[in-house]
Amino acid sequence: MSVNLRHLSRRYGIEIPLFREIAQGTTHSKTSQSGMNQNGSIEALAQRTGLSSAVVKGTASFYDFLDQPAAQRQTLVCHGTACRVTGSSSATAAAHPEAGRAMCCGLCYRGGALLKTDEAGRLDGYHQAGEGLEQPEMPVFNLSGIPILTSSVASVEALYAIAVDRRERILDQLEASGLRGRGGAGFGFAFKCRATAQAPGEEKFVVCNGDEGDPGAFSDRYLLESQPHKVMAGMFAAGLAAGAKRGLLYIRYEYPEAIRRVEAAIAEFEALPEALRGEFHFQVVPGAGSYVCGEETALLSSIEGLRPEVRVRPPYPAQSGLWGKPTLLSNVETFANIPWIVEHGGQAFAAIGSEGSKGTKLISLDSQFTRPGLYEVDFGHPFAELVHDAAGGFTTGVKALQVGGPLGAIVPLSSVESLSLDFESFQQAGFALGHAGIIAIPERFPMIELMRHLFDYMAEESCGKCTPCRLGTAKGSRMLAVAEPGHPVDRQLFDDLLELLAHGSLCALGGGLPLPMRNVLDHFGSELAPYFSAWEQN
Amino acid sequence: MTTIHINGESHSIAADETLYECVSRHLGREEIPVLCHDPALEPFGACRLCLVEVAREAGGPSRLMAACHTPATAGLHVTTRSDRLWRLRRGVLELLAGNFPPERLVPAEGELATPFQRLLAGYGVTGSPYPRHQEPGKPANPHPYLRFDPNECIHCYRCVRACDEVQGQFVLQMANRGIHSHIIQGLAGDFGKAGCVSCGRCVQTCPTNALSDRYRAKTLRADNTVRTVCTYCGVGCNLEVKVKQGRVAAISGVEGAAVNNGHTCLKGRYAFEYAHHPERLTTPLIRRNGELVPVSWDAALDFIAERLDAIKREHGPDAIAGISSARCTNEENYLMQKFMRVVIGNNNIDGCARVCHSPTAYGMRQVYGTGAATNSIDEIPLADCLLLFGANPTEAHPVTGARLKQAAMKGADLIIVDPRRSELSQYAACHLQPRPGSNVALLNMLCRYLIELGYVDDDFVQTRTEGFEEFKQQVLAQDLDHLERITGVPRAEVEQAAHIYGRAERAMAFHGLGITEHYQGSRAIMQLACLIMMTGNIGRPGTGMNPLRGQNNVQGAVDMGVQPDLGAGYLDYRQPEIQAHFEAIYGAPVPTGPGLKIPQMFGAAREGKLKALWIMGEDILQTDPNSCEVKYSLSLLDLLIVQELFLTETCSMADVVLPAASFLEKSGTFTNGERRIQRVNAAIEPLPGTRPDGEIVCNIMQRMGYDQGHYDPAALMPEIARAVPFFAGVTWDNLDGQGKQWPVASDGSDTQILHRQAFKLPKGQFRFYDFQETPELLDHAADYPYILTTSRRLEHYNCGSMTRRTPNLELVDHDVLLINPVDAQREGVNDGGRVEIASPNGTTHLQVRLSDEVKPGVLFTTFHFPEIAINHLTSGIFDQESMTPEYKVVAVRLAPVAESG
Repeated sequence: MSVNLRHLSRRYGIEIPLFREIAQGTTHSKTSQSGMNQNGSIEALAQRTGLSSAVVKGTASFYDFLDQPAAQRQTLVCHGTACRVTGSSSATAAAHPEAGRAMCCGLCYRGGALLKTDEAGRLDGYHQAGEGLEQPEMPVFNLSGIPILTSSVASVEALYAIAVDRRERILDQLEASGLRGRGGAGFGFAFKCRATAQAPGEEKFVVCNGDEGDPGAFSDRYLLESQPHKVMAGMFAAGLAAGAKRGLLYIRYEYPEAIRRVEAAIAEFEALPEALRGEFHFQVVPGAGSYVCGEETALLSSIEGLRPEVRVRPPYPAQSGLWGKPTLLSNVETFANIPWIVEHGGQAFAAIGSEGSKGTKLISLDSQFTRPGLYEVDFGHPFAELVHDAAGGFTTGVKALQVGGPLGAIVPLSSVESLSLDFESFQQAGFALGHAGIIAIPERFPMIELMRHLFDYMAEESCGKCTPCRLGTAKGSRMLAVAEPGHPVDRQLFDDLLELLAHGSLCALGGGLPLPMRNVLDHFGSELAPYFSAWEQN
Repeated sequence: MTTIHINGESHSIAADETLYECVSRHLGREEIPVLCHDPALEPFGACRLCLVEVAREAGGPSRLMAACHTPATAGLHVTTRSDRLWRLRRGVLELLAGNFPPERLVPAEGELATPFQRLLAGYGVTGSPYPRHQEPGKPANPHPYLRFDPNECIHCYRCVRACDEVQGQFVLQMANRGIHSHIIQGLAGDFGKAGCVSCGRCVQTCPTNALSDRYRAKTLRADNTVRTVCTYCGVGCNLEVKVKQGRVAAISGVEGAAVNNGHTCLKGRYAFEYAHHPERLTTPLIRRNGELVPVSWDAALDFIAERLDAIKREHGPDAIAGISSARCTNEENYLMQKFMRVVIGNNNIDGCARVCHSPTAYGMRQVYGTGAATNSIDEIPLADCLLLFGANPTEAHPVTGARLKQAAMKGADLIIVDPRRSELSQYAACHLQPRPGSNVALLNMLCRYLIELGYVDDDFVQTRTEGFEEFKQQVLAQDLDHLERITGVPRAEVEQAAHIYGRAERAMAFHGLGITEHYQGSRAIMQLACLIMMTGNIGRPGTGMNPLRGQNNVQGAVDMGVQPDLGAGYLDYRQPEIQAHFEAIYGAPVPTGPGLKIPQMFGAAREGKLKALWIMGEDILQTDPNSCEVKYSLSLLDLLIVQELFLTETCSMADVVLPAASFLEKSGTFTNGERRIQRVNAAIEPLPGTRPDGEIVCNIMQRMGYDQGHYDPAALMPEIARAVPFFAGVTWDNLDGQGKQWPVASDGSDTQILHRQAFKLPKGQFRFYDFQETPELLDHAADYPYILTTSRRLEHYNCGSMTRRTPNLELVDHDVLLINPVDAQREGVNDGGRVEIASPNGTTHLQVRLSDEVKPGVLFTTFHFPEIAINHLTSGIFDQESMTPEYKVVAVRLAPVAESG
């Protein structure tokens, strides 16, 4: 992370951050194809921003959808895990040989997702293979006695008004609520909020991580598209508590509808009485195609227009975040809980859920469930009840569930009975709940393929900064790619690699990959036996 | 509790240190392996080699942490060696080895190991168990010095960070993502096109040979390595010179050096091949029948001694003068002035400070009592405002320039006063672009706004200064309309600059020859000194007035008494007790009559009063103004002696030419622009046939009857320490390493900041001067409507005699004239075309470049190449107080010339 570039970026401006300028300047129109034009636009950007062309190129070339020939962006076929294991991605890709790739569009409850670009080069929505534009309705179910996230909003104005009204007590209520971050790590939210409030400095930011990159999860997409004011009012309340006057929502490129609806919601917010809004401003920063931007320090660098490589901590964002200012950063779903906490109090919130996980959780179920869609459950809800009763089991033979994305757990179906939907239950059993996107792994889908898919995915998405992740994911991917019965992977070497990834990586991207690998190796040993040597050693 | 437990032992923790720093401090730099870490750069955390085990209690559960970016916290239990750590670190190395050319995992034949290769060997990694997978970028396009081989890139980002955090150039960057990522040099894979300044810091920090240079500096197996000080400007960068078979084979920056911490510019690091250039003079020459013919040293020295004796007998001592050199050591300068004063018996000794910073020395002495930089380069990051007046340090003082750029990028408010837009302007809070020659008017505007806007530090003015009320009345009486017209700078911009400077808690000023080399040079210096003083920006860290010295030892030469009006240590030889002081040291009486300044020497030659001139290492014919007159003056001398490395323009007129040794071939001390006395150590023997300048002076002293022995700087230092009061505590040995900033007290303690408690006078003296138009413009502007101003380029140094004889010539091989497009259109001049420019003194031809770096009416060029002979044009106007020539303002006209041939 470059202190110099961060300062120059800050000087460049906040209203249109450097990253937006670079993204707009390197999103090529349909006619530009040659590298010459791309370099031309980079040089023009360098001139305009006062940065070197190497810096602009370094940033733009990081993302899937910038600094690329336009043809590769006009149509994007979803290659996320759900579309992969169901086989819909290969079918869609076959029908659209010219298309580029997207890593999950949040349409896992339906499958076969396709994104198309409009004349202006903006994604215009979801398509079904071979068909015209449509917006397949997301099925939403509530299993909680007190729905916090899926309930409808009676009055937008009241959401903000109550926060203003009770601004002095927000921090205490957050503390009492026990609210934990919903991005996956489950860090206590009030701690971050207080740290940001206590950090010295006039200028502070609140940043919403809407880069829901985990294939299989669409809960943030739901909230951004259908409950944008809960998210924003949550940011607003947290901003009042932390002393931040500007809220930025970083929303992934593959969620064009979410970007549109949040922009519309911001317009509605700005139409509210000024006495209510105060000096608070919202803005959307659309992503440009990169999984690692969901990591908080990478996300901040992304907004700043720097290469979104993971930064060392400390300093933490609460001390030195966006443009070096104290920044309260959390996930969409975390913020969406806050209006309810402000309205009903922290105690009421803490009364919902389990011992260590308070409140409710959104769970995404993919198209292989009998009733796929989004479920709101109280933390601690029996996993088996959700899977077998509420969702009605599966439409096909399933051997395992992937929970929490590519760095989440692979739970054999036999373990579902013993788990409840909270952070502790999963952790104690050697799994992780993560962001709680759930994809069924069909019987027919080989586990070695799943391992390859996950390693390939991480090799593609690694920011490339730290050695274990940059080279370890690539080497692992290569080892698995060539593995076949008779030519097995050296298990000792593979285990050493997993240990290095787990303990040596700079962030959770490389550090998280060993979890699903070990789950699979532990629970599907016999299926994988032909692919690994020295099986007995572990 | 401020202790930490490392491998079971308790150790102290220093403030804000990381685990790596803490462990390295106690157990050495080798204890924890690192690849991506460089102490000169911010912690980055990429390679993950520096993993250590950290527990909250002894024997408790431990976590693996990267030592390079984990804060050292009291009470932690750190384990730096274990089987697990060995396995993980080896795993990292095996991953890297799997993407590295297998044959290069060990050092190349006859070369040293790179840091990466040393680690591989240390962990027993000879190959990689992982499948090979390599997707390197492309090698960079050819460059005179830099080489990039992506096959050896291990993605430590050190080059990218050095280019950003040290040089601030942003040429290098990582492109793409993850396994596809690779280093780029701009968009075209070309260092030069990407704006590279060839500082080579990337090469030095790279732990492999992915980045290397023409000389393979990193892995070159040298016979010996010598630390010395660069001679290319007054910054005083410390260099590590690698010597092989008696030749200088490579140079790098000394890491940890206070001045440059491993950084250099391309001149310091790469422009050394001149030392072994075939055109080096290697035998004395005497003019016989109009031709310079080789003679033996004895013959040359006998000839000089006899001729000087004869001239002294015939015409008296005043018929002889000497010009010493700011490129030579303190000891050599001391000897040269001693020779003139003691052996010849006059004060006709001067040096090239006369043509650069004499106004600084004079002006600052009038206001503060000491004519030297008040603060230190290290303090730049402490300042919240930087005022850069008449200097372009990223070209002329590149390592300091880079530091200023770093500070400006990180948010310090930079105010630039320069008729030309320079690289730093893009990071400046404001850039005032006055018409050349109008500095005093601009300073008066600034002073007026600072007073009116209430930025005067009343307490400071009250307690530490005298004469402010009168100064203030005169400033307030200034007519802003008039000053605005003169300077061409809108008053709103000046007001803004005053706000920025005035509101700063710590404002630090730097200035260069853009202020001194003027008709009102000394007066502008005094005005600037007063501006600084009235805002209380002096005597504290991160403040003050800091001249950027042009030549490596221009500070030292004057300190040593190379000036006609004051003796060594600025002691006034007119005072009897000072005469006694010198007599006691020299063992001979000292002359008390006035001496000649350089321009006066030429005048005396023309009047027939001066018969002999001895020039030590200066090409006055190319670099002094109004060359035709200089040439004529020299032609009237009976004896011209020149000590040089190469046969320069001035040598071509000499009666005797003596082949001198370069700085790489001799020892002594240089004093840099922040008063830091640093040791110069001979890396190689003087080239056969050459002698150090100091030795030559000693030889002649000997022959003329003064027993000075041989040149031995260490043995001479006690004498200098006695002669120069502010050298009192300096010894040859205590200068080892970082050197010392004078004044050095007798106990050896030195001084980073001057004027902390009091000025030397003892109160600061306010002095006011009205703007006066230079006669150059008053007399000639009607016929010569353009103003030509000159400066340096990064790639070359002064008259270019050294840098033109290195591969720097491949980077820049001619001087160009910058002209504003508006003027170019009016004159019918095209970009790349040639023009004739003429002043009242002469004409020359130059290639032009259209540029809005200069305002209409102003032309800019450099003077590195003798063929353009720009000093044929410069005038005979001098600073009124110090006689420094007005290089920066020349009235010229121009006309396009048809391309010949």
